[in-house]
Amino acid sequence: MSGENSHDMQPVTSHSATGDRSSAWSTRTIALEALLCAAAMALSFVEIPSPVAAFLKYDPSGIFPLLAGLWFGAWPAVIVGVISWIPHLLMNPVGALMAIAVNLALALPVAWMMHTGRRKDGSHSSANRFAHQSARPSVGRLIAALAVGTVVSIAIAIGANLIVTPLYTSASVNAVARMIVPILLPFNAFKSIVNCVVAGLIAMPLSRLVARTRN
Amino acid sequence: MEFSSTVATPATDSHGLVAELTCVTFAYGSHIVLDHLTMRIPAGQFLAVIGPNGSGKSTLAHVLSGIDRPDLGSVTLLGHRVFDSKGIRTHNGQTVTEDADAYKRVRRSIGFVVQSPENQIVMKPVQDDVAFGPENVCVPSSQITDRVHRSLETTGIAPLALADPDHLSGGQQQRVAIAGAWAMSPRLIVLDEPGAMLDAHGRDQVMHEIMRLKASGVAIVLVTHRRHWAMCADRVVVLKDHRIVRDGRPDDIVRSELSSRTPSASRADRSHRGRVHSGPSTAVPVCIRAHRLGFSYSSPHSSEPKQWVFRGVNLTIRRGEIIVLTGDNGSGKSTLLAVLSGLRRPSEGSVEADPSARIGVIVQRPEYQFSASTVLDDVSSTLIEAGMSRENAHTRAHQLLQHMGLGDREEMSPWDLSGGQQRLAGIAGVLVADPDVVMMDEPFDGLDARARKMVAETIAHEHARGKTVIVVTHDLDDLVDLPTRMIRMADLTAHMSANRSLSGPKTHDSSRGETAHSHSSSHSHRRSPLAQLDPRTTVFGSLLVMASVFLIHSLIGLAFGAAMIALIQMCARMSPRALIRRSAPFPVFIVLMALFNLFAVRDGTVWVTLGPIRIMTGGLWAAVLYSVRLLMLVLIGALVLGTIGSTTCARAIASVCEQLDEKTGHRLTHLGDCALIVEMSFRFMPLVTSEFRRIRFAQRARGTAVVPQKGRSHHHSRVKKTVQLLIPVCTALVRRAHVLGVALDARCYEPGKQRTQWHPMRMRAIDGVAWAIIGLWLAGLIAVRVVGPSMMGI
Repeated sequence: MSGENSHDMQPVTSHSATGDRSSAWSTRTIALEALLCAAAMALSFVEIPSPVAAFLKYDPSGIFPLLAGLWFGAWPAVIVGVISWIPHLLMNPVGALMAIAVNLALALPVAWMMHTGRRKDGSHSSANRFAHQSARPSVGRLIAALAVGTVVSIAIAIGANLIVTPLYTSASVNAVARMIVPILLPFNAFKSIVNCVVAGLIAMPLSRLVARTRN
Repeated sequence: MEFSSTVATPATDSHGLVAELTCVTFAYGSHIVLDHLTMRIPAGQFLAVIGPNGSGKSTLAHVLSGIDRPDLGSVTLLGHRVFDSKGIRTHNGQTVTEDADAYKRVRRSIGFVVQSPENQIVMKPVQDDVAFGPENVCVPSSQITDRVHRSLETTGIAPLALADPDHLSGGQQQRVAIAGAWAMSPRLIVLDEPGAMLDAHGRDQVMHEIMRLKASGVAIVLVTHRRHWAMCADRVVVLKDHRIVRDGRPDDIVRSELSSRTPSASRADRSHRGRVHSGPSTAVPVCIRAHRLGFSYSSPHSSEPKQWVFRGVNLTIRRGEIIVLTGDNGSGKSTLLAVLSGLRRPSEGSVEADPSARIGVIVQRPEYQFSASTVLDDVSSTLIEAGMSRENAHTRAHQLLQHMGLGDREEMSPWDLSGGQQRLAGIAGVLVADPDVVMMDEPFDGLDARARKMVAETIAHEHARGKTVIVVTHDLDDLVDLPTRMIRMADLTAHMSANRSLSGPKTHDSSRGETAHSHSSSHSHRRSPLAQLDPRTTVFGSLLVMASVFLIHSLIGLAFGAAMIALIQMCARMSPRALIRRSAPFPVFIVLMALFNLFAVRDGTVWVTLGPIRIMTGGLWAAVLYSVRLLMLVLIGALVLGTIGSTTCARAIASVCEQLDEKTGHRLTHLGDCALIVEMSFRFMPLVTSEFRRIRFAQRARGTAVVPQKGRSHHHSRVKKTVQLLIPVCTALVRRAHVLGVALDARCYEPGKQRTQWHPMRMRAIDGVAWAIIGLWLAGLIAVRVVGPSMMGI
């Protein structure tokens, strides 16, 4: 792959002549968001059928909006979450919309919790604190944020299924709710927890590297 | 037009200089990179900057191209004082050290080309990438056409205008990058090691390009470590220890540089010559023997003619030898290594390896595979995964690291090591398993002299312990002191045709680069009516139709739907076979839902009784209705995607974002950036996918050296495996994003700012017709929905 010089990666006070590279909309961040989208797209085609029901499939693409949310905040999470499903939009519009909703329901609360109330300088920039060397996020806060995200995303997933199912079957919503909840709840809990654990384990060690390349 | 004011006017540079640095100091914390550097570059000069790794060449390139600012001194680019640590008075009376506006202005007339070409091509196809820079500085669309054509002509890649950059060779990609810089009508072009990632053929292409640019009168700064490139320049500057140590005409400098290097060079020559003849002693047992080995990527069942990476390779490697395998990029060195190690299966011929010999493979840039938080954990993970206890693994890793001189670093994060230490730690991750045969792919790549020495010492040490070492490299100097046997890839495959297979399709077959959707115009097969529509009509129209499918509730509605599908099929002109192939994965889901409806719906009367289960007429109707609806969704999706492709679909969405951005007067400032992200993510998806493959391969390679411990076979959870894969992948993404960000800066992309569109999408009469049909269909559906039930009585 790339052949960057390693001394490009040193921690610095900014030498940028092209604006603040650590801002949420710097060219670096935009480039990384595009690459996270590309990775999420690639993984959105990977489908691991769940042991519970064959048509409920787990795909690891939800990890990337979560990473974008952890590193950069809410907007990047939305961008990665939405754009990464564009390839599916025409082939499977309902599935794509549901996947976007569920992924964002997980990533957005996490992004908000990790990026609000942490600014001591009172600045209005959404500059991210997670990927900043001086402000290592506390693990406690991270776990709390992920837990909230998990609960919200499970709720949204079940809600979305209840809305969508009448499009596929004429059985009454009540019947569906009674039949699907025992399947949906464990499946979505499993999915969200896997995404959270993986994203947390990736985001922590890499946050220093992310901060460094952006300065 | 804004454009007229964007080009820095030559009148302002009174001394005819394109760049003037005075006492420029650049430091990362206490680490000094440029030390009181002073230089002047006159307009039209071709300047080569040479010097060892870490001497500050790349940083100088960043300063000269206006990407980075220094800490001290003053920088004047194209006659504009952009940085002065003593202060600059701006036009509004403030005193600043860096003039951001001036920086912006001069960057528009400075081209910057980095060493990895694939990371600076932002758009596809090629011509859209060349247009990217001019779009960013708001050049009117008609002028962009001129500029794109001129740049493509100048760089000689006009035939590749419609190619997908992923299908080009490295040399061609680098020319695309140069064309992109050229389209900005620059007065200075800075090239940072433009040939570093290329083989001899690619380098020739790029050098040829540079000479062409020189003839056009633009000033060129070429950062390189290739002396014969420097010979072509008007002037050479040698950087060493962060200062300019020589500055003058190329023949003087290169002559004096060579005279100071003669002893080592001649020694290298002598030892190479000596080595080629010294075959291995036949008394030593054979370790690996390859017989008529051949490898091709095409599958054995494929009907395409095979593209051989190499063929007919005979090779005998004896225990304790150090083999140096050399050859051009794409000559198949790395692939041969993978086949010899057993990681890849040969397409023909055989590899016999001593069964008792364990093989350890160290891939290119092993440091890109770090996935643990400390060096010790990372190195010992190889053993732990094979089932060794944590304590034992740590003890062995500790001993090895101690020996390699990393003993005091083992509790650090691998990312905090220096470049050379990172490489050693990566190598340690394989050596810790104590393999009998060590295979290394380009272990010196990208390291400076000191780090190279450390790696060479490691190789010497393994050799002294009686291990067999196979090194793929093109830098022979590093192993001069060791008793190596050199094998040239070209000698191994001498009988193959000169036109080597792997580089063949990449270099010569540009037609492969054309993807169906964007080039249907050039391939003058008849474009279907659907393909002629504005992509926005196709995408959003079909989404509307798909949504309205759920309004269908009756037989008349179904007939209506069938008519619509038939119409789209006629407009798309897709063969039924292609249609079935494209929609293949979905019927399973449709059948599942149909069965569910059949048994779960309890309306109507009993239709049939199957033992205890009674199927109702309501269930039957629901099964039919809902599966036909789903089938319609699938068919519409397949028809539309099959006609325009998902990249065009993404482009339509990006275009709508950009137009919304414009319509709202940039109040939603970042919609334009979202459009760029959409386009870039499609451009980089293939590269990211191959990144996944590369890292999976590297992880497999690391595992080959260890014998899984019996009885303790570790079953690693999926989560752990995913994390171990994704950490190096994300690391690679972050690094790539760094280069890509520089490329965006160099091409004057400014987040949140207006840019022109070269080919804005336009609605035409045919789109009006399409929307009218969609409108009629919707009206019809609603009418059926309202009137239908009373007629149907269901």
